[in-house]
Amino acid sequence: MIKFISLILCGLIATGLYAQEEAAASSQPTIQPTIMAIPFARNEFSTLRAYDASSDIRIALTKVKEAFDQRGVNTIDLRAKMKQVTNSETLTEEQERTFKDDLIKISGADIYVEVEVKKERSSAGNSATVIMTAYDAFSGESLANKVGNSPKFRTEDYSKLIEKAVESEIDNLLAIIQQKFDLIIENGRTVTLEVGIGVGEDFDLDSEVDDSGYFLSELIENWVEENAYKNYYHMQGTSDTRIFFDIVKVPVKDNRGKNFRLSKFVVPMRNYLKTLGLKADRTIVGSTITITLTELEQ
Amino acid sequence: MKYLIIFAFLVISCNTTQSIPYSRTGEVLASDSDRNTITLLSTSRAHTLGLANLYAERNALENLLFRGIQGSAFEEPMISNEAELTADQKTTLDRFIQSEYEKYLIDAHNTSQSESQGVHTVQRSITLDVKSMRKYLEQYSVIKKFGLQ
Repeated sequence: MIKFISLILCGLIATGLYAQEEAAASSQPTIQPTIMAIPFARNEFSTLRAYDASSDIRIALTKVKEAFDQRGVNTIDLRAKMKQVTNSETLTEEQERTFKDDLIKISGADIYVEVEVKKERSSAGNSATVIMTAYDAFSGESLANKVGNSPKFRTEDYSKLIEKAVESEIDNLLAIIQQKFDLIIENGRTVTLEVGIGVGEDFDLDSEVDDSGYFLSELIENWVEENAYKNYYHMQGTSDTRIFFDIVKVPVKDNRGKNFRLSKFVVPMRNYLKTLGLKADRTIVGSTITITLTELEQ
Repeated sequence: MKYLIIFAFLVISCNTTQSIPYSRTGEVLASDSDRNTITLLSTSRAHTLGLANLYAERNALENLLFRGIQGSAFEEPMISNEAELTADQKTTLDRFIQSEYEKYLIDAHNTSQSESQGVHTVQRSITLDVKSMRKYLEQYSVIKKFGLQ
């Protein structure tokens, strides 16, 4: 009788747990990314200077932001973030060179959209072209790009023409970004991983650190293969002091439906390296993981 | 007498209009689109005018949902993979295509119509409130909200 009751209880508990997991899975909220529109700038022309240089680009950026806002997308105000980056009146050459990277970092945007405007005049009427290119802020991967053209009108009101050009393609841009998101959910997010040897160490990546007969670099590659999302990774190159993976896939969400933090990938790796007698110091910047190996102190 | 019967049969067969079933075609063109709406020109054929109008509206909707409309602000389909829809999503979508879409129909009128040998051909201009339509479909989880889900 006791056995029978235990069996029923086990069944009920299992069903309850399953139901909870199901409920958690179905009630997972959409992680809505934040988007910031920035002006396109050529290498010698910083983002800040590109913004200041033309009222057309400022109009285009406002129209792009407005269009995203109207579609319920979380946007970040470029002007406010630029003020945060530029504390002083004038920037040094170095500050100007790294302005875009600093801006993206400080903004916390998940996606940034580079916007470029071209005005065209002709006897048949004036028109505007807006080029929009969306990038993943963490990996720098291109997500989508679209070229919006306004119809030709006999008008000097370029703000209207720019608005028409933005509106003609903004939904298509969002739709393509969404398709990329769906692929990221399915195949995982891309991170890069670099493993190097600390200065002055007596071992290198070609050393055999256990009895398996594998080099350290091969053991690391095996571990990455086993732990990458869907076992997908790509090793760009290896030497006796450095191994670099330009693609390691990690999931977007953890088992509880929360954002997958990169430390969740690094901690098991560090623990594995500890079993090989190695200490792993790690640095995580955006989607880049850097690990430096030294001998574990006994 | 035998020939008379055969002749009568042929005359009757020729006069009987065959029912034309609905089939999705690519005969949908973008006429205009702005921030919230899209106007489509949809062509269809049926054995009655009423049915031809209905087919045109359905074809316009299905192209917008499953194929996207080239040359418009909605080139990408709202539903990228029709085959991946769940049973619940299909039920909601069927209901939407059968009748619910009328709530989002701003205007519908024929730009041309003709009848030949019992077949009515219409080109229908259909203006839809895409923004509200999208919200409705998002609310019932037929299409995804923007973001990582």
